[in-house]
Amino acid sequence: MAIDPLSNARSERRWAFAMVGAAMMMLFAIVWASLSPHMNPPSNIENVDPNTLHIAGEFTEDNLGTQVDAKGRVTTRIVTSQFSFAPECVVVPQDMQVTFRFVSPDVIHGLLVVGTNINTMVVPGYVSQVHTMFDKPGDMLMPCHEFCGLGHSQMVAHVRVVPIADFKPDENGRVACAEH
Amino acid sequence: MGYVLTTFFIMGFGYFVAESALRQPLPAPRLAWLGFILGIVGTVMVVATVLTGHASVMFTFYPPLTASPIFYLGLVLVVVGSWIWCVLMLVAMMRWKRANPGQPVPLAMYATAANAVLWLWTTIGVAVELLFVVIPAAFGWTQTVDVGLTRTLFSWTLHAIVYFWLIPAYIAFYTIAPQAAGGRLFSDLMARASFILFLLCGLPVGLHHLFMDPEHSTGFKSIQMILTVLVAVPTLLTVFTVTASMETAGRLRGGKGLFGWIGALPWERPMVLATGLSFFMLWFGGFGGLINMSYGMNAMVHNTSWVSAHFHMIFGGSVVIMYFAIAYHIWPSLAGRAAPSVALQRIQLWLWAVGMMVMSMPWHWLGLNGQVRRVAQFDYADPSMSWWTPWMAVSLAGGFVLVVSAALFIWNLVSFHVERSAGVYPAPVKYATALHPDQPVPAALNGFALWNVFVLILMAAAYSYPIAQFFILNPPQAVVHRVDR
Amino acid sequence: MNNPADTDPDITDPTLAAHLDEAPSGAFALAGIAVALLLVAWAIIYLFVFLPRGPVG
Ligand SMILES: [Cu+2]
Ligand SMILES: [Cu+2]
Repeated sequence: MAIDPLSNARSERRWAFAMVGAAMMMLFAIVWASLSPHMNPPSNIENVDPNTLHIAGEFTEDNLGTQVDAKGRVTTRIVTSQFSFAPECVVVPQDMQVTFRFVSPDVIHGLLVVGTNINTMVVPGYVSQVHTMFDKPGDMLMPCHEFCGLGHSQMVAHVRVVPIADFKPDENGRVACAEH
Repeated sequence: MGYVLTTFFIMGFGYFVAESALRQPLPAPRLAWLGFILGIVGTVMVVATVLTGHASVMFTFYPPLTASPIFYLGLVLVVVGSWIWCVLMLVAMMRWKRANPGQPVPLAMYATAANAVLWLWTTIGVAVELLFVVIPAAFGWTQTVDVGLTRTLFSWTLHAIVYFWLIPAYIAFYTIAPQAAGGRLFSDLMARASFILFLLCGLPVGLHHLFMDPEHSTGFKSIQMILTVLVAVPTLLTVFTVTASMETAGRLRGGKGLFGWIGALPWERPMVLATGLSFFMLWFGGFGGLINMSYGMNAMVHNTSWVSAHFHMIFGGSVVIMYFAIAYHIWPSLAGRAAPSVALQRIQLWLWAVGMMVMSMPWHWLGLNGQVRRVAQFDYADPSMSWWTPWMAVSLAGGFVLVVSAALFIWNLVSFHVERSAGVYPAPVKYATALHPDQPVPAALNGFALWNVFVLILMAAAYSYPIAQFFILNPPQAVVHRVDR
Repeated sequence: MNNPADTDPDITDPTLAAHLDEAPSGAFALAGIAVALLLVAWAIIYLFVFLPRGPVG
């Protein structure tokens, strides 16, 4: 009898179990993705002083862009500031592990690479680090996605993914976009 | 915009509920007016600084971008005005309980008081951020800010504030819509439990807005991700209980079979129509939200138009359409007149829903394809962006429909007073009766003491280290960037 | 606006019982379909957009 309070509570309890079950299914899929194919938000608590990063250390001007180290690891360093990326174009190899490292000397910026899972905030005081791998070549857009002042709309960069055969580091291990 | 419209609406509706559901006068109406005036003065200060270009920091005002201090003081006044409201709501409820010992507080009032409790908890984060970090910087007393700390404090407020806006719509779903449709509330206890779950789960989840931030660890992000999954539960419970309540209405009106009751509902009544449209938009808004909260999946859409679409569907769509319907529903008893044209009210609601869908749907697709939000203009000559243009035109058309609908809403309210209405003196607003009105209500679901303890425990678990780390690790600070000179 | 006939607080239990013997089957059906579609839509994005976009972290 539907108007019996007990049966009422029973139908609600059944619904509640089904809903918690549905939520658990999604949770399971998310946790699996984070553990097995390593699809996580970028979390890397690493500090850098925003006021001195351009003077000394890893993020001085001639260290920016893509560099291959002695062990063959590819790292791309980018400084985001009002209202541009430095450099505005970076080259990365296809099908290889790439590590991006972003810093900001002024205010909060953020970025994504269109069509990929690369997305991070760039918070002054921190190094934002993203590991990824690109599976097809091409020029990809990398806009700033956090309001950083009145010039925010102009803040756009490009990521150029090239096949490994075309990825040729110079004697210092650096690779840069050709001038055009 | 979002802050001001909602705060004033919620305060007004709360005062109405306190008088109509409790059938007792409001305690200290003078204080209520003081809260209102503080809100108005604060709003004027905020609007003036934004319009004169002294506060181009957006409504999230992320430091180190720093605006004129008048902007922040205005926000503080609005919040203080709303705190007065919270206290009055709780006092009204306690007075009623003292006068009616052992009786359950009417659901509409219980839910309104739950919202007041939620709001007091919610505003702690932003209040601390403003008073201890942002305002000293705006006055020039400090030259640097800890950006991670301010973001974390703001995130404390950022999710729950949306629930503060949402709860009045849910109050209408549970306590007004079933009555307007001619049915019964399926379960009073389930409604109370849902509002408590909003209070518990709405707060310790703010880090999901910082999934893409570097200053928090995977561990705390995952803890708050799990709690965020639980936030979906009270909404899913509401979907069932409210649908079942509407089903009682449809069946009492002669609807038969699995779906026959839907057609039997009195869709010509604005409250019923708005509830239907609201649930329709809730599906899309909920869908967008599920993707947002899914941890790694957030990377696809963080800070893109997808987020704008989700927010517009949930808030601009589901919630605001219920604000309209509530206004239409309570206006006759406020003005003492019947509505001159219910048809125009229906047209306005339809226009709002259609406009919101047309405007927001393209944003989902564009956002998934990398269109970032909060941008004044795009370089459409760039081939990777040129295909966005027609979609943006569609979106713009939806926006125009919304403007027409908003104007019609204002006219619909003005017309109560302008046109010679039929002279019917409308009956006072009634709230839905439960299917089993005599079911006993446990004391826990008739007050908040127990739940405040739980909120405290959850917040301590979710936020104590994420906030304390800034004092333990002492990260380098950023120099203040003024936008007001 | 409020038709007194529908909002009669004295709907007696026998009347309710006569009308509501099928309830809440309709709510189960309607809300169940809506939530099922929601999960399907979520899974489509998960499988066909999120996973193909590759590892990140
Ligand atoms: Cu920017
Ligand atoms: Cu949120």
